[in-house]
Amino acid sequence: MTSELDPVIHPTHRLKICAMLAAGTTVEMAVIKDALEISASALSKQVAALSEAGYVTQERSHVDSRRVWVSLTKTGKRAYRDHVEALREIVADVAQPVEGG
Amino acid sequence: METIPPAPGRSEAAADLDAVVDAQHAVRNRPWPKWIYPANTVLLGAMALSPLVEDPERLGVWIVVMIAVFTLNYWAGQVIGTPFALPTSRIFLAAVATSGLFLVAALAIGSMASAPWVVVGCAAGSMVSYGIGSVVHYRSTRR
Repeated sequence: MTSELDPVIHPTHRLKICAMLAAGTTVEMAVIKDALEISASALSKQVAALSEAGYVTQERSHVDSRRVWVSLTKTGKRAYRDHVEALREIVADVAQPVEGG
Repeated sequence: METIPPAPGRSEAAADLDAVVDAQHAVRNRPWPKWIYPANTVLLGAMALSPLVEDPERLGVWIVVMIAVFTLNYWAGQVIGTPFALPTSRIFLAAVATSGLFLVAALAIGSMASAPWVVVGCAAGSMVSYGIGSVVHYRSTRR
């Protein structure tokens, strides 16, 4: 079976965002911003692109409205898993020796 | 509308996979607040010692301590921004699992026989295991 790369997840920052959400389930936006070392506005754009695709949800904290929590949706989890599988297949395919010829 | 990117080569795909691992470690290995280690150690000890409490208070004590453990750890997770992330340190995870086994042993022995010193020994084992795990976790997340 061949998985396909997802054009929405492919940019490195978005891939890292999805990886963090896959590992942490629900992660605060500030944590992602610190890890990626990008500005808040740049992060907002990346998260908005993932959100438009239906891959992530954002929720503002009820206690502290400055804190925003981000999670992967079911669609996002599946897309991320397929994307990572496609990357693994690329690495594995090229690593295999070419037969015949 | 996103355009379909050209298929990456092996080195680019491998670099992307490395980026995934690094990103996940950044979330899973966030430093915990220092107070959570002694708090968890004491609460685990209290939970393991709960069989020594006479019925009918025993179950109540156990439930209260259990709720305290979950509430404190969830709150600590909220404070650091990752309430559900599991640390990557295998030694820490093994220490927590060992601590859990001592806890289960204390509860099982405490409910079957009247051997307070065994329950106390299991509680000590549970606390020491978690204490060792705490040191490992603290060091692994503050490099």
